[in-house]
Amino acid sequence: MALKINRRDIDFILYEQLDVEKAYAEIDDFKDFTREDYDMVITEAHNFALKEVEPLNAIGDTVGAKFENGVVTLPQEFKDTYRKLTENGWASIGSSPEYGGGGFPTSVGIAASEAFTAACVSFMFTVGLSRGNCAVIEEFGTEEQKATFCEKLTSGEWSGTMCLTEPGAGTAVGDLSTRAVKDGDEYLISGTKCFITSAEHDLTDNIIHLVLARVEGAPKGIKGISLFIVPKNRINEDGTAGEPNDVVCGGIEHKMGLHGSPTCVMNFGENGRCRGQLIGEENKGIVYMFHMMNEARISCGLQGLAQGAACLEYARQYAHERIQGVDIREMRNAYAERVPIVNHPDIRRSLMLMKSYTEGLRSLILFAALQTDLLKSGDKAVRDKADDLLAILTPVIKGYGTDIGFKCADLAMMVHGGYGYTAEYPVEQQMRDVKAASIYEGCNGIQALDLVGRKLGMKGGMALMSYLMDINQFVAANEKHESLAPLFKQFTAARDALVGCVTQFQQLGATKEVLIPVLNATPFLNMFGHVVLAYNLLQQAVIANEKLDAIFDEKDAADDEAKNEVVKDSPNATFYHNKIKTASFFIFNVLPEVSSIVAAIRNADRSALDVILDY
Amino acid sequence: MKTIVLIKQVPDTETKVKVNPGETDINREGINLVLNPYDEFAAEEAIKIKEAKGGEVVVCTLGEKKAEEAIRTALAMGADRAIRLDGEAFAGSDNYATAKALAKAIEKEGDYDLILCGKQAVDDDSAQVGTLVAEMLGIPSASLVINCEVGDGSVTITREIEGGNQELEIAMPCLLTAQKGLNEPRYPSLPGIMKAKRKKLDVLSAGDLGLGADEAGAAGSKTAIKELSMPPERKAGQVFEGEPEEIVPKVAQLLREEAKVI
Ligand SMILES: Cc1cc2nc3c(=O)[nH]c(=O)nc-3n(C[C@H](O)[C@H](O)[C@H](O)COP(=O)(O)OP(=O)(O)OC[C@H]3O[C@@H](n4cnc5c(N)ncnc54)[C@H](O)[C@@H]3O)c2cc1C
Repeated sequence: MALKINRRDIDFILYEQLDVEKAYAEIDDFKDFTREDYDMVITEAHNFALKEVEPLNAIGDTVGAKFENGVVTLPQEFKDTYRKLTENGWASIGSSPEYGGGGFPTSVGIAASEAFTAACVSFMFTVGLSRGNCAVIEEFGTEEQKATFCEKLTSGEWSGTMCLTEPGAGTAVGDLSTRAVKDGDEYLISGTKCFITSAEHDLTDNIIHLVLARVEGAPKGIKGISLFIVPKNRINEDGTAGEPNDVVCGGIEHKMGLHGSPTCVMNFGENGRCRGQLIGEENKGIVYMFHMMNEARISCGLQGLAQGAACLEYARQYAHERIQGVDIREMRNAYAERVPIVNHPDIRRSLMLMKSYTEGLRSLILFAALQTDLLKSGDKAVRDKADDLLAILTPVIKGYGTDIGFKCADLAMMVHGGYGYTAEYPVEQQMRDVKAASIYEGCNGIQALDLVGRKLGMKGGMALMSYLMDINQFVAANEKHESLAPLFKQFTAARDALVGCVTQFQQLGATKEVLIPVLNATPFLNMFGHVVLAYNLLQQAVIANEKLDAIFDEKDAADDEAKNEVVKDSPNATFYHNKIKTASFFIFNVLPEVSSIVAAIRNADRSALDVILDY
Repeated sequence: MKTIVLIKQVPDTETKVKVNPGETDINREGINLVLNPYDEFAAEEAIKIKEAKGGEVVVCTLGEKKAEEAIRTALAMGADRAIRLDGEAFAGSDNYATAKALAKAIEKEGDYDLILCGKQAVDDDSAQVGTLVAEMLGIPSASLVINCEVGDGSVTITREIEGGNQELEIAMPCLLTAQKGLNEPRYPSLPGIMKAKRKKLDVLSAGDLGLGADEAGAAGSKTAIKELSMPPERKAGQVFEGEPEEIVPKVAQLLREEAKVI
């Protein structure tokens, strides 16, 4: 079954909804690009992803990463494609031109990456981590560090990692115990990290670890953590990779999915010879690391989107091919024609859930990508606003977005029936591979706490206000919409319920009932996600409605019959028609969950706190 | 060594083609257009020859502004510059008129050693333009080429023929049409795409080529499309169940009377 990427939807969001061309024309870094550039990059990246990267997915799953004597080997196909992919520049679409990157806007990079991620997510981690790693060095490193590492990380000659997690410090990064002892200009690093992605492999001849460690005598907790560049092989005078740096892989995890991605236990300095360079100042490591956290968390959401949307497309194809049963209205007629399952209402409902979730999420992620790009605007007000929106939306994209990915895999598997549960069909692997996205980069429960505990109250609530004001403006401009007014009515009710819930949290926060918001952070995130997605889909519906009317006018379609013909015959009309249906479906079928979630939160039930679980 | 590559922008092979009754073109709305896959082999071969022998690769197409996407694909792969033939005068060109325009453009360009093109365009599948161009230029040509070694003043090629392969040595300048298997076309890379932006692209009209009003477009064509129609839909097959003695006579009767095949 062929992997399909919804390019039409990507183009719709970039050009019809967000009008990125106009936005980027005003940003110095991007003003020389044209739409032709964006289109061609996305087209060729998708082409490469579908033809060259997709075949790796099954190989990665069945052959996988192999560990022996401290060495991790990946399938030969991974090595060949890694070389081709990096040579063709697909690992560095948005990276700085200064170090050989393409310098493209984040939105274009993300639009391209959707295909790479859907094609073989386990293969793409190495690339993504190198990019994040390089961005940290670029932002906070010394000139010498930048000169040593950035070009090689951008070209993919070397790859990068992020080493935070330790056996005793997962969510609570501040509890880590890896040590750094000053030794001349450098530091001696010692400790064990676990769950480190791509920390050992044979794709590149050096691996650059960014390691969080505690310098001797540093304060306890998060404020005593520093960030170090620790190469697997030391760097020679001439900048090439030299002798081993006492960084040894102790083993790789045997995981539910992502078999093509080595998840490594890493021992630093077992022989007291592991040297690292400090980035920036001591004890500021977490600040530097968090700088790239937004991007990494958005990448997790992208994984949810890419794999969720891939599952939708697999399920949509399957639903047209699989013949089973008869039209429900013909139930008693043994001679009735057997129909493809796409005719069954329950299958259509499942497909619509996937469609509305993924299209809403795609819109949200590309919107966030645009905000990331607006951080480069010359206008401070624009930058500040983008920063606020990113703060609010990042936990939603990470938490709600990765849940969507898994939910879609689940729905797609159900559409496939028993066949979906077999390795013969691709959703089985997609389901296993997408699950991890709700765990790394901060478990989804932690995303919910970030939203409720930090982001709602950020800047005295002004960040949230800024987003709500955009929503209000949009509603005010459209609520009397000729055909979409009923959608707006549903939507405003949900928005008001959300705002009521935020107020309730604020009031509880001021009392000793502070545990109620904490206890309800996850349902809150889910509810907030519903509202955010509905807002995105509604914006799309308004645009689609206008464009569809224009097509009807152009084709002189006045009555319903003529309009139906147009909707069937014209691919653009089909697309816009479906957009409106997708928004309607979500707003009438999913969004009403908001009121029940809010009602549940209002109950302020403490049972989960009071229950005795060590029975 | 100068190689000219003739290219065409065509609908993606995965397109679900729709024909509007009474019209002479397919419904182009929402169709994804790509560089003709066989032309990719031609472009790749030209670029490989340039990499080995030096010289330049010029791509040439007859097509509207939109066809510049296909040009840019070839430039991003590594071709050096491009010529696009455009203008009202070319409207309605058939294979003959298209070949004529391309041949004129090639003559104007001059000084070429090799012309490469795909064995056919996957939209109309007529596989004529390449050979016509060679005839018009009065140079030798070979179709369905699957291997090509450039020597001194000649090329040694292998081409597919029915039931086997044929090896030929052909004097240059000559024209070759590329068959699948000739090479593995490279992907346009990100740096390639950015470089392509700055490569030269000349747009020439029928006038620029010295073509008279009756030599280009519909007026210069030998054929005209009267109508396009979809192939008739295949009806569902009929299944006969029962003992062979019972059903064979039935089937035989239907084959004779309804299908009229026996
Ligand atoms: C495939 C994979 C790849 C990974 N790659 C990397 C990598 O490259 N680099 C890296 O550093 N790490 C990586 N990780 C580690 C990942 O980031 C951690 O697993 C994650 O941070 C959670 O830590 P933990 O597993 O120790 O779980 P814990 O911290 O033990 O959490 C267990 C559960 O308790 C919850 N919990 C914990 N604390 C709280 C709290 N205060 N309030 C409420 N709930 C809480 C969590 O949400 C979670 O549900 C990877 C993990 C996986 C599975």
